[in-house]
Amino acid sequence: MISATVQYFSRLAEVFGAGWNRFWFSPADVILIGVLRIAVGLASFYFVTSHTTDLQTWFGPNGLLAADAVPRILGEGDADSGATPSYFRFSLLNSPTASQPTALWAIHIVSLLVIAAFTAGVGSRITGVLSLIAVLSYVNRAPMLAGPFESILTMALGYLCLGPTGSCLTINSWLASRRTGNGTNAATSIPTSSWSANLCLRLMQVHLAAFYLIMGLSKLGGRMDGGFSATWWRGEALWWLVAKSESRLIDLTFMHSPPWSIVLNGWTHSIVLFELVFPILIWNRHVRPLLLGIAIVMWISLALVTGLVSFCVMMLIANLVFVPADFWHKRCEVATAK
Amino acid sequence: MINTVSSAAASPEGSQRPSSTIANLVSLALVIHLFCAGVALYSSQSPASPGDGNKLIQRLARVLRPYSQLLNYESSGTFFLTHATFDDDDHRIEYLPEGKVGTNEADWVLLRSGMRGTDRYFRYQRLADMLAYFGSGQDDNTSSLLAAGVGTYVVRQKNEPVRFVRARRHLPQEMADVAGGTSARQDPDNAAEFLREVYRAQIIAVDGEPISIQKVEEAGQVAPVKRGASP
Repeated sequence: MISATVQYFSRLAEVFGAGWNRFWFSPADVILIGVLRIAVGLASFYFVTSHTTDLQTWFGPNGLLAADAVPRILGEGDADSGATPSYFRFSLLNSPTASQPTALWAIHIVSLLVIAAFTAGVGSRITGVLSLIAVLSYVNRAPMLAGPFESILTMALGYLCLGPTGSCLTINSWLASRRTGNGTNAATSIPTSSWSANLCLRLMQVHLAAFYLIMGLSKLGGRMDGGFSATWWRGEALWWLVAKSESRLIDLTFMHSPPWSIVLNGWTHSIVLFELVFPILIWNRHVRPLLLGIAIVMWISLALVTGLVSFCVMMLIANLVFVPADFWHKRCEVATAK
Repeated sequence: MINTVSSAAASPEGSQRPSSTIANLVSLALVIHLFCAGVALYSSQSPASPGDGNKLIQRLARVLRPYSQLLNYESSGTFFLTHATFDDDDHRIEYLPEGKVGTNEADWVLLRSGMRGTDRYFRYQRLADMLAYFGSGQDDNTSSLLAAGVGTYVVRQKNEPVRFVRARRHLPQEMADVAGGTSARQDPDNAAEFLREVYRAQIIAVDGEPISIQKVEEAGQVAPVKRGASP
């Protein structure tokens, strides 16, 4: 009995170990990581650019959020006592000189240049890390202004730093192919495989699946006893998003009565169901295209209802991590043929 | 499998798997990282009341905070989008310039910029959400800091003298309002029906001194302004 148990656990460890190694360390096609580099790079560029017109407003010398006030607002340190804040949010914008207009603009412009370089695939190992530092600097400077978009963006950008994002779909390879004029499109020239690319993609996949799970579970975290109202359980939640007149992009309040109110109920429940099902079924390659297609519809509809366009677009970008590499090779071949 | 291996030439690290030493080290780092990320994500579910928080997760989150905060894994907890509580409602910050009475809607200036749907727009709304949250929750310290920031910006950066700053909650319409409510209730932007003031503070600006705040608890309660004080 004991030896059988020992054998069982020994066999279990072997199977788990083999599966672990297969999952994390199998080589993966780098074209997907190149696509993600471009998409996440563009999202990062948008994020930093969106601060441009309000840079002084938020972070300037007499801005809305002084650097020394932020930890006090967050309750993370007592600046009055002179104690070091207990939070660990690194930001280039936290230093006293960074609030001065010249330094602020310098950091801003350098951040944009670095992110542009990363997006183009120039020195991506270094510019990737620098881009992450730049994006985190803006997020950590004023965490209370960050929303779910920043959470997904920093996650994706952080993991991309681990992979060979400069292996393909770069400006250098495109220029080289134009110079040689050999007719090969840079996108399809010498695709390669890499275990670090797989590691990067797997981390993004796991983290994204966890996001979906948390989104679904937190929606169901309502109570009926006068705490948080269980609007997602009751199928009412979409109405409360539709009714937020200062956030929504389109007015769907016509859905207040049947049959539209029934559609609203179903829409609410389907969002929760999808977010709970996604992290489980996305790993099945037969169901994956269906889930990704539904995700497109869901996130576009939520963008219109909530106004959180950047968050919904970022979720669509993150979902690209589940698109197989063959899909991108075919798109590149079509582009080459044209 | 999700990842297809290309048949073309391999990169320097190649289509080969890493050595067992590297794989072991990376696996160890993976386990630690996934644990940290998992704790950070789990702790950012819909906020629980202080009394029924998960003590284990809270303690773990506190220990792992240097890592999770650095990489922004601790989210703002907005993944649930709405529970239809007051905290999920739209809020707005408005200020009353000097010389205005404040009895008319037009007297107040809305502190907001950007096109609807953009992050620029939502940043102002999140600031308003915070001021409303702490202001209505009687957290005078934090709400004062936020209001002082608004006052500093308007007075010192925009060079506009300001009397008051307020945060208002924009209540959403209920289905019954749209279905058959009064004409006032059918207008979602009707201030009398849907805008509730949750915080107001008087801005006190003295030359050479930081902006200070006097919270207005009820009508008529304002701080005496020093003679000669000007922004």
